[in-house]
Amino acid sequence: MRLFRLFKKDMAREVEEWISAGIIDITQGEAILARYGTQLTDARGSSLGYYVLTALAALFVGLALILILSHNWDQIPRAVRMLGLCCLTLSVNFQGLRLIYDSRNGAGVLWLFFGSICYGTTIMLIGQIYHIGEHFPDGIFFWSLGILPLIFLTRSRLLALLCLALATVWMIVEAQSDFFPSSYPLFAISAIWLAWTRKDSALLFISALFGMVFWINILIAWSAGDFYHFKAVIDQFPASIGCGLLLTGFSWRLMHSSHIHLQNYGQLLHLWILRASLILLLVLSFDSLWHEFIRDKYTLGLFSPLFILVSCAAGCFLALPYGVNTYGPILSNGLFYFCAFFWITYGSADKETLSIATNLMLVFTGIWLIRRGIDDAVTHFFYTGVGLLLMTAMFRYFDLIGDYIGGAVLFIIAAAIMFVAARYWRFHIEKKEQGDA
Amino acid sequence: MPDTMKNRTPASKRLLIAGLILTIIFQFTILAAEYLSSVWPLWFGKPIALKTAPVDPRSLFRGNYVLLNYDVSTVSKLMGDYSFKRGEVAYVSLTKNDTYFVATSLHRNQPKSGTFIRGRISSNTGGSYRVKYGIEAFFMPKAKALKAQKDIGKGATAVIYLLDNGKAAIAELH
Repeated sequence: MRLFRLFKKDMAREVEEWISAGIIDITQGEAILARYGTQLTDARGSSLGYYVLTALAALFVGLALILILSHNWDQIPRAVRMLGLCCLTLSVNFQGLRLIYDSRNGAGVLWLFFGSICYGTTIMLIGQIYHIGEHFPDGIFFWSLGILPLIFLTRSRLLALLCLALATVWMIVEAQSDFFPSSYPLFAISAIWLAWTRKDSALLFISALFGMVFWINILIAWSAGDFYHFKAVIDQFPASIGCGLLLTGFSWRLMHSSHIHLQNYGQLLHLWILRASLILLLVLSFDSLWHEFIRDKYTLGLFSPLFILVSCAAGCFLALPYGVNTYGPILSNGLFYFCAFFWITYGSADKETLSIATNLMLVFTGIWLIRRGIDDAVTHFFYTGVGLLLMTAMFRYFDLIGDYIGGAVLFIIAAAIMFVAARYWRFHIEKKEQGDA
Repeated sequence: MPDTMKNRTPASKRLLIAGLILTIIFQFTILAAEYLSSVWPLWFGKPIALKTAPVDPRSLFRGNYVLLNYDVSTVSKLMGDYSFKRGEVAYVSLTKNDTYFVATSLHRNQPKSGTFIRGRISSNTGGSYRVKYGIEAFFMPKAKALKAQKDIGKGATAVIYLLDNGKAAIAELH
């Protein structure tokens, strides 16, 4: 899967230039673009710009409305303020409804979007007028809940994004107020449903999935606090790693889906998980974090490493039909983290050994990325691999493991691995060339 | 653009419009519930005076307010009939002492008689509980909020209305 498939407009513009230059004809151009779920008209601009700018303008007006309300016009009678805003909310929503009735769906959704902001502002105004200080996240929750049915009725990405954004803000402030946001999956699953059925909102899809992973983290912290307060625990790391492994397998399934837009979802999901996994490996290459992992108390015990193992097996199962390059990284990362957390939970783990193992994982990952970058012509893999190896070298040069000699030994081992990999690679190329000859 | 709404049959369009109308009704039901739960204690509650001290922060959506710290916000653990956890609902019995009402006991269940206020334990460190009653914020324009904080200083009186079930609403601050 190639990253350039995500740059559809650029691709359409490029193909249009080929047609102008007479390299291909229009039918061929359309056939090429259809493979990536786009068409020639996409190169000539669309109504998307108008739609996005109008939606942003509605958002800005909404923010202005909230700030005007925040000024607190206490010289205006309560009833006037409240009825004024209720009438505004009602009329804006009915304008949206009227436009949808007239089949002007785009404009109708924009009015409903502004109506949703007005509705939230009215919630806040009532809270302000009557000095409701009790648990303010409830206001954001009811704001999001009021918009939720619109996702199913209008199937609008804009309204779903607003609803999900509000639900995510609610999840965070609810947790900060020491309450568990148990209803968050309702909002995230609704957003995933829309992204899945419409197949054209990767932002909504990825945001909802990551929101769910965040919610699982909050759930673990809540359970660690005996279900009445949050207690950050080390078990959240293995749980997030397990989710990552599972999602990686899922992303491969999506990338090999027959639907072009689902392939794009898979591509983006895989890209973000790759970035997150590399950052995690770089962070864990410092022994101080392993030291924290070893010292901390585990709430879930054996469940944490077992969850990694089960997620790894599920991820591998999902990616299995697509070759070793797909399930190989899931398997190697899964086994590495399973062994590490199993050792920490049930043995006398040593932070330096774990740190050295992480650095070797970084070296292997870097080599694998470079190899895939060149062999399979995936450019961003190649540069990510080179960048990863250089960053590992830089980190280890400044943060020595086991003093100067230990650091030098680690560099020599890494160099030896890279040298052997290079020789093995050359051997294979020569063998292939001989075969071709 | 919501392309999925295009090409609807008249019947499904009627369903969509009905759904949108129901959603608007749903939103206004939430607003009405919020409004009624706010005004109910003011309409049907019994007024009491509590001693408080204000400070001035800003709410992200609702503007400036004075944050009220009542004398009854801190209740000794010795007054409780139960070992409360954070987040649990508690009822504080109140008795009038000259001008202000003061806390006399802390209950897990709603008392059958007397004046009491319903709250939630926000912390239980040391020998006392911190209790929140939902009347800790008094919204006003920024200039007034700053002036109130300066004028009132360390002592103020809040007029609170209490329903029979202990739900409180703040009406005045002076």
